[in-house]
Amino acid sequence: MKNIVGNKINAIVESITPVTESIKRFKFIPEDGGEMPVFAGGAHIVVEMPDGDIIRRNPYSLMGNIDDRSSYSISVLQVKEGRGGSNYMHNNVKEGDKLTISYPVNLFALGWKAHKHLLIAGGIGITPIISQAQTLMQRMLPFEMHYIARSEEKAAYLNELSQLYGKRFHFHVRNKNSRWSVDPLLLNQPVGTHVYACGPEKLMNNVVDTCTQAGWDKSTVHIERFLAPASGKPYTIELKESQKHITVRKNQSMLEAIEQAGVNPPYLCRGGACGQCETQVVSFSGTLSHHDHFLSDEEKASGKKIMPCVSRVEGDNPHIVLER
Amino acid sequence: MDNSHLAGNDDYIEGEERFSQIPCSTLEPMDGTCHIILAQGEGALAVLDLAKKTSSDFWQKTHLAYVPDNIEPNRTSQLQDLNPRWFYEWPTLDAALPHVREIFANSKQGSRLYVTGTHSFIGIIFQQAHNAGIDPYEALAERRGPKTRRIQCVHCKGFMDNVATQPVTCSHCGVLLLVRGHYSRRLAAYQGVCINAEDTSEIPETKELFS
Repeated sequence: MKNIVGNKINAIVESITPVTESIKRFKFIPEDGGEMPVFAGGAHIVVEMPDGDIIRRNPYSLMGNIDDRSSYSISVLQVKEGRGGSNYMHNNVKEGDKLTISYPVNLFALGWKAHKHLLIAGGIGITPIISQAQTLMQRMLPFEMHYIARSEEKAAYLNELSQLYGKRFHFHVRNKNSRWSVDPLLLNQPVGTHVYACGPEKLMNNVVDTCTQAGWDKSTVHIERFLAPASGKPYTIELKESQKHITVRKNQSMLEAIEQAGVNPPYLCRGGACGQCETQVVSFSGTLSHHDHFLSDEEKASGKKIMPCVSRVEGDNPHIVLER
Repeated sequence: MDNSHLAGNDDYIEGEERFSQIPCSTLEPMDGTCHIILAQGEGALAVLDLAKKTSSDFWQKTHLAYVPDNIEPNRTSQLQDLNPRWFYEWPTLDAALPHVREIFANSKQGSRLYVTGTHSFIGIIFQQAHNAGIDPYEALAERRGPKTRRIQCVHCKGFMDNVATQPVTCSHCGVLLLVRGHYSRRLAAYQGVCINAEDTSEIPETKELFS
């Protein structure tokens, strides 16, 4: 059987719809007019963006109708001070453009043993939660959805979600004047509840910490982390097996630089969560700046492994030799 | 008597632990907002052993239920001395079940389950826990008391408890059953399959394997 990991789809941007001031929805249809692969709640795709001499690859959650195989939809929040992927999507991509996207990957799947599903979204983290809610609704499974945003205006799809899910849907404003806390919610769930959280790092850490202290088993706490790769000072890499010497630029990840040099390590999430791109470190100077959630603290301290999708080398004369 | 048709069938071999069985180990305190401890018969001793490893606030968030099942000596007062927040005593498993379901239904996620007693008792409590949404990852079991098995006859679907021998005659339909290593968590029972379907005059020797 052909391994679909790494398979790509040639897609056309069918439509671009503004959702809020800083969020746009992109709808992709397959170039060959066929059907998109099936996906389930929580899945994402990686969109390839040819930006000058580099290809940016950013993961975005699929949030379209799970029953509609004619297209995929993603929502992109523009992060003006970000590394450039979301700016590229907002400023350069036009309706009718051709883009390459990956097959769907799901690192945020629903736990089917759960008796109740508690969905928690912060800001743009709503996108994978939307497809999960659709999946749960379709299967008539019990769930409750909490959406946290700085204001109603900034909350994408607020009216649609409120209409679709009625009593199951709860919206909370969290800003300087309103401190809504997730803790009482987590401490009062019936046994058999699984929690799913996607949103800002702080919210997700809050969910994990509270659940851990309350004795929730790890298998019942599902977190979707899409870390943007860290930016930093340029540094150099030597790829030992491929015998290449390359430079990682300021706004580039190690993985992107390796790909630009024509070497293609495996990847799935490009956000430090899945562990696919794990690479052995032969030697390094400077310090390793680990940003992933995959390696254990011991592994990070050992200096023998790195996740090139999000981590960097910093300090004096930063240089690293990798087993690639 | 020729037992060669059973050669290589390790269902016939005693004492094997199978993946489908409920993993029994030793009760250890777990992190949790609430602890639900259910002890049958000699399981009371496992609870007293657990108490040697717990901090004092552990019992402040604990339901402790004791099902003596007529097994002497009665340990009620020793268990009460642990000062659990809630203490219950029900004479038998059947008497306990409606209450156990009630406790499970009112529990919050983050509760941890501890079950100790015979394998039948553990199996049925785990079956109820599963129905309530409690995952085996959130529970520990320790077997105390005889290794007798609860089995289901796959032919007539009748259940028999406290089965000690291999083979055993089904008390419902009279078929001579091989007690298989195949355990069903859903039914909380081992599967009993006719051992001499080809020739009912063939009667393998009865051994006391589960005691």
